[in-house]
Amino acid sequence: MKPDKQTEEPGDEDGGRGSLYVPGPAFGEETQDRSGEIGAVDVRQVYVTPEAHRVDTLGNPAEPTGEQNQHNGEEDTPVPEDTVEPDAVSPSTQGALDGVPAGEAALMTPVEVRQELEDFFQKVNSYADDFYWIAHITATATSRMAKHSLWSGARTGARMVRAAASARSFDEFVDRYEEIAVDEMERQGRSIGDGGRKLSSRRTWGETPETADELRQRGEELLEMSADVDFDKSVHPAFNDILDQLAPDEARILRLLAVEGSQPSVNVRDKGWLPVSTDLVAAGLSMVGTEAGLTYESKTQAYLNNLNRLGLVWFSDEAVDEMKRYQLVEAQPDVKAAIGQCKRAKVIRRSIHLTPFGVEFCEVCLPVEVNYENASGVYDAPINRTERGSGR
Amino acid sequence: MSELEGLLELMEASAEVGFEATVLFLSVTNSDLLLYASTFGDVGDQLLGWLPFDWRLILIPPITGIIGYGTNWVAIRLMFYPVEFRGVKVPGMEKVAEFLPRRIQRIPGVMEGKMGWQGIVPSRAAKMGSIAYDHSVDKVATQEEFYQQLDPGAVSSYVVTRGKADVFALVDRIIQREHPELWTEAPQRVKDVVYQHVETRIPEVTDNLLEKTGQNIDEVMNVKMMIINHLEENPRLLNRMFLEVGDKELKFLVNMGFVFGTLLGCFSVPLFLYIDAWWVLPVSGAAVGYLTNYIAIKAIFRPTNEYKVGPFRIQGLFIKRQDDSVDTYAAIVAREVLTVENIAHHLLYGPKSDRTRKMISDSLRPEVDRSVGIAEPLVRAVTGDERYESIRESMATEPIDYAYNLLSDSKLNEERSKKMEEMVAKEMKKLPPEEYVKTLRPAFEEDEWLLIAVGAVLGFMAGWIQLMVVTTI
Repeated sequence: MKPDKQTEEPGDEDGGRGSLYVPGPAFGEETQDRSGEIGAVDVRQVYVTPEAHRVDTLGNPAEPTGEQNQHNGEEDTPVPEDTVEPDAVSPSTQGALDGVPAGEAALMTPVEVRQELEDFFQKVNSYADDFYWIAHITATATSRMAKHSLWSGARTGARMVRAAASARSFDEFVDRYEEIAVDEMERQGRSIGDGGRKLSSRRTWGETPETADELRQRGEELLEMSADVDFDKSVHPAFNDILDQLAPDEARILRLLAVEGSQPSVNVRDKGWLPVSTDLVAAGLSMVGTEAGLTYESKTQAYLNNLNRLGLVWFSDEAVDEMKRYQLVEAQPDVKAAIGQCKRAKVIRRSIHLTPFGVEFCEVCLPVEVNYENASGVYDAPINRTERGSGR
Repeated sequence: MSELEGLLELMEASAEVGFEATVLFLSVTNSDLLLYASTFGDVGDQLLGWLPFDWRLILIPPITGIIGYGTNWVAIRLMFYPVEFRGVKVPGMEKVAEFLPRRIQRIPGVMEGKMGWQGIVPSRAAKMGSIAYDHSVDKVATQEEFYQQLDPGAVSSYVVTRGKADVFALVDRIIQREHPELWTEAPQRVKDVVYQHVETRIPEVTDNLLEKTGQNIDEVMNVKMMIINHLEENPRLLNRMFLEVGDKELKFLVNMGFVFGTLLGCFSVPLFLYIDAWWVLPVSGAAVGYLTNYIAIKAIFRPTNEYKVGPFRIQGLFIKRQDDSVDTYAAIVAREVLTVENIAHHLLYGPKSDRTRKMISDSLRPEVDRSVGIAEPLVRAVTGDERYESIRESMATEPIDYAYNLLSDSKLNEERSKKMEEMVAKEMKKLPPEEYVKTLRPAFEEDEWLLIAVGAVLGFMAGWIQLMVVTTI
């Protein structure tokens, strides 16, 4: 990571013009290998997008709107024409536009890309004004912060890239972009006042932005994509959000379950003196937290709840194959204490394991060797990527 | 239900087989036995014919004594051996096992659908390790205190002196592998600068690391898991622990078998006379086996607190000997379990090892930069950023495994274990009896009935043999 690159003005790299039509792979590499620079790269990306569309992509300025220039003037930071860096345009716009992953853009001919972009920008023309202004503010803010802290750059950068790759529509991307910028500023302890928050399109209860029609349309798009034989998106779109919603300790739990397979857990029930009914005294006692080496071991149950909520982990009624493992669980102080509370204790043997979805998540998102035999209990684990790749 | 019936049939069948085997065995040996026995019987008649009752009855108490001794001896063998499971898989038993009571399920092998035996202690290794931790180690000191007992400063200076010679070779090897040209073409002076830097920085870096580990010990270590894993892998060690700590108690248990057996034998003589039935001896044999084991096991741990009856002090044998047995216990814990090597292994390869490794790598990486010093831009330019990073990465990770090898040195371990032993012994002697008894007791508690039952079964079989002896002579 080299801080000096971060502060570089976008205008310094006008050689990027030539690489308009091969943006995908280069973009991807950049995100992975030089994370420190991502912030800077992304800033440029959005910063110049409208410019690119007006000047470069369409060849001649397609109705350069007066309002845009006005905004420019208001912000007192005029955008120099030579900041145009078209290679940054395509990954976000194309990915957002029609579901083509950024990497595939490289396969399109220049003419196709041009056509796509033209269509696209005609479509979003109505957003362009607002978008330009918003992008400008967020870009300035983010670049300032990127100077301030490398980490913030890496953090926002990574989120930006994800937002760009996953946004369903262009305006959603813009929404997310500013959201990220505002979040980051708050994290840095910089007050941006209510105005800043208003920028964010964070939804509050009761104001669902989508109408039934819009939802239906998205549903149709999904089906359309699935009908497209050329469409190949093997990574599940939910993984993004899931990663956002995991605590570091939860990743440790996932690693344990993926590598070691099912883990034993027990419920303790009190049979009482009458063999009529039983009372649940303690549930879900296991050694998962200890075995995973969590920082906050006492939160194990809460972590497991979250993982279960995300559909990654199941609490199974079945016992693990190796009954011997319950010996250890049943000897733990918490289980003993629960048994001590009972008149006549009955220990129910259960297990905790990944769901097939969880197995896939670990396989894609975590650097671990997934134990396919045992990781998802009796449920078939998804076929792993290499197999799928070779099958094609 | 059909499974249950199947089981019953199976049990009947096996009982029959056992019975037939006994009969077969006896009928083979009977002819010889009878010959000797009748000669013995004649001699006995001549010598002891003056007694007012049949002299053969005198044989009953010593024989029951031997039965008591034998049942206890066998029971103790069964506690510890065999270390690995020995037995055969019985088809269908796995299914049946699910419906059996928990007590039966706990018999080694049952849940795996096998008929056979494994020593109770080794078969419960993980559980016993867990219990030992909860009731002794945890009460003795915190993780931090244990870590300090190993004297990180001394460990550090040991690593530094021992490692000095090899660290240059390690540096050479890494650079050689990652970037051969860089090192072979480098002038000796440059190499010397690097070596010198490494040499001067190593002590401080090592000290800092060990100190940092101490500060974050709960993040990187879990003594409980360490003990559990270690004992699970070394069930023999656990056996040793019990056999050495409880050495005297176990011997007492076996010897008491003879004493109690003889005493009980005296009671069974009148029984045998008044209830003139063939089953008296087998049944009293079972009772003898049951009672001798029962009394002996209970006598080890009970009563927890001391009672004074006249001149006698009555207290559980194991507790009575707390100071003695604590020394043995501490020695094993310090020399075999909480050693430098085991702790290092746990830190570097255990469930939280990623944290330790990250800590080490994070503090080594800047050192690599520093050792290159002012030449860094130049080196970077020569090697290229990626190559430089990979050299630095290797420098930051490879010494870890090397250091672990150093830490497994037996001399170092022996030296460092002394302080640990003293501390564990000192702290455990302070434990009140009711706490102390928990270090071993809970491990047996659930299986006591099994040992007692084994005594009864063996006693029953011995009673048959006794019957044969008394009636054939």
